[in-house]
Amino acid sequence: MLHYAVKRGFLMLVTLWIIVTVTFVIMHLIPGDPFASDAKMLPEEVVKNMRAQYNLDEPIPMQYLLYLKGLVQFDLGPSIQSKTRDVNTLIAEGFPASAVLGLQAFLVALAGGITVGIVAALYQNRALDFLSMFAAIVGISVPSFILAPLLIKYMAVKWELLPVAAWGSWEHSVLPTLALAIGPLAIIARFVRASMLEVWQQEYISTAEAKGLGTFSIVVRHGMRNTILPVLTFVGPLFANLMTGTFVVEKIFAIPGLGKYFVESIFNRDYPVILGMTVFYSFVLIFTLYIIDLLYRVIDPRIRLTSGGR
Amino acid sequence: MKPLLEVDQLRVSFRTYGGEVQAVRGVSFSVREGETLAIVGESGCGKSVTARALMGMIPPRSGQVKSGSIRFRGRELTRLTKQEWQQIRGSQIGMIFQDPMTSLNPTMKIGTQIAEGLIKHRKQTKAEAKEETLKLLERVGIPEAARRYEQYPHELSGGMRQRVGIAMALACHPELIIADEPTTALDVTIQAQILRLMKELQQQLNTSIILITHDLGVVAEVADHVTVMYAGAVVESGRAEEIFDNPRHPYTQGLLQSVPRLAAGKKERLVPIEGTPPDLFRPPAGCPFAARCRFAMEICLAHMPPAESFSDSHEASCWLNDPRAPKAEAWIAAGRETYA
Repeated sequence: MLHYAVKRGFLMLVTLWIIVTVTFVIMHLIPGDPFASDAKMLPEEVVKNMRAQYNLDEPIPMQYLLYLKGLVQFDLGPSIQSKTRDVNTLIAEGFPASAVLGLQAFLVALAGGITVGIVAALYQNRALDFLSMFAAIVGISVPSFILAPLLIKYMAVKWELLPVAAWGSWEHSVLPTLALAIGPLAIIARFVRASMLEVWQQEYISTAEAKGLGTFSIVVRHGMRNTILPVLTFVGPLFANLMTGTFVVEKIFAIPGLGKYFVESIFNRDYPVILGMTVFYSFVLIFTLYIIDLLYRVIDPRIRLTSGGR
Repeated sequence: MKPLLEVDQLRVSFRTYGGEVQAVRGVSFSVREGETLAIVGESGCGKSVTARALMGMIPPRSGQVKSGSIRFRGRELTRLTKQEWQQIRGSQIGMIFQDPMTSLNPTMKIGTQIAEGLIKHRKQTKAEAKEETLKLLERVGIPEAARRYEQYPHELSGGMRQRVGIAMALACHPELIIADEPTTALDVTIQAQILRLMKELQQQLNTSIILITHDLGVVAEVADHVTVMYAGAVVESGRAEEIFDNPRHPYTQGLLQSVPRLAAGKKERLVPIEGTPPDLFRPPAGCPFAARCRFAMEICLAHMPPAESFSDSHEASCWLNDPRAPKAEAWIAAGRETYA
């Protein structure tokens, strides 16, 4: 297990390096640079100084090496747009809100999706199944930028149950959590239902039934683990996506998260922010996938034997 | 002595998109304490459905016990509630499944899988159940029980897994064990071991066994009584020696003729039963075997033959056994010649 963990850790670093390199190259292939619009108004000398300030006057391979040098020291560089804060600060400021929101949404989606999926499978082709799968289709189809305003209109404005927007108390986080969670919840519910239906056909479920176990114990003890396995694959990227902030929902609810930097940095050609955000997102994603892989081994003992130990 | 289990005129049907399938059509048999009954027949004849009905495991949404009775220790089982069934399953009636590769949960330790029945029915603590499970593992011939307890199904061979399956069925010392093709998925050498183990344990615990199989070799080895099923109905039943020595139904004869025998001369050829069983969406009015029977008469197609008794245990449902049947003597002689 330790050997595996170390080997995977090394591979994670390699993956991260490849992502940085590819992002760096693509970013510089896009025409224009951060000062393209300023260059028309400002004296040539000023622009030149500014470019020098951010190492943009260096040849591109040199810029790449300088960036890597910063990266190994965990320095993601300055933001070109924001004069006072560097990328490390941006992430440190934005990540907590995004992470809290993302984690809540993730847990709601996971718990809700598994419950709905299993109930639907147990009531296959009956009213409850049709109802929950219809709801799931709606949940998947309605984008969050429609769902969020609807939630605000009814839950906050009309019935005054919860705050309209902004970030602060726990109440503030309820609506954005729901807006974020419902789509993934619906997808997980459909995954779990399909997986559960397959598991329910397995002979070992009959074995459990023949032991005299009740439906609930059969689901929890024998159905769950085997049902979750195929769903795990989907859950990894979902977790990373939710944790690193989402542009739309954070914008609508005025949440000071990471989401907006992601989008704005691209329009501003804010090279260090683009790279920094990508590196950060990739790190979260790769790390999550790593955890998921370890979880697989915990949940399915067959995986331990076939690829472990080597 | 009253039988442990009495099944009378059991009918089980399944609803499908194509209509109602009458999988079991009026099956009757009984099992005494400590006795082994083999239910024999080819695939799709209703053996496994009968077994599931005895466990109360006919899926309620698609299938249904239509009529008939299942009496276990004098108690009628067909009208039990879900909770009452759960009390009986595993504690009074245990089941061994066909394929030990798929009938064990791949993500759970085998020890836990055996122990959970004990925890449920005997209200044992985890520690007590573990201790009992270790004894069970040793009893079914699994060495190093303590180590095996912690292992997962994929770490065991097929034969070992079936031993686990047997331990699971035996855990709460049920009075009746239903074994649905317990050796079909195993190597021939392992089959003999498993059968021997089942027989030994049966003698020690005085358990009754219903053995569902299509393998007459297995039947000859372990069965006291045999019930031959065809197209959801019983065509012949009797003590094992009666069935092997004096088969009275052409289907039973056909089954015996399609089994290779070592003692037979080189020239003896295996005789297959031509054709396939009838469609159970619309079972025939007469004898279900008539369409494949070499001796079929007009009456066979029109009327279901009644059961004819040959001894207090031996019965067969075939018109050829009717005293008025013309070819009866020659037919019976032909049957004897081959199997005497």
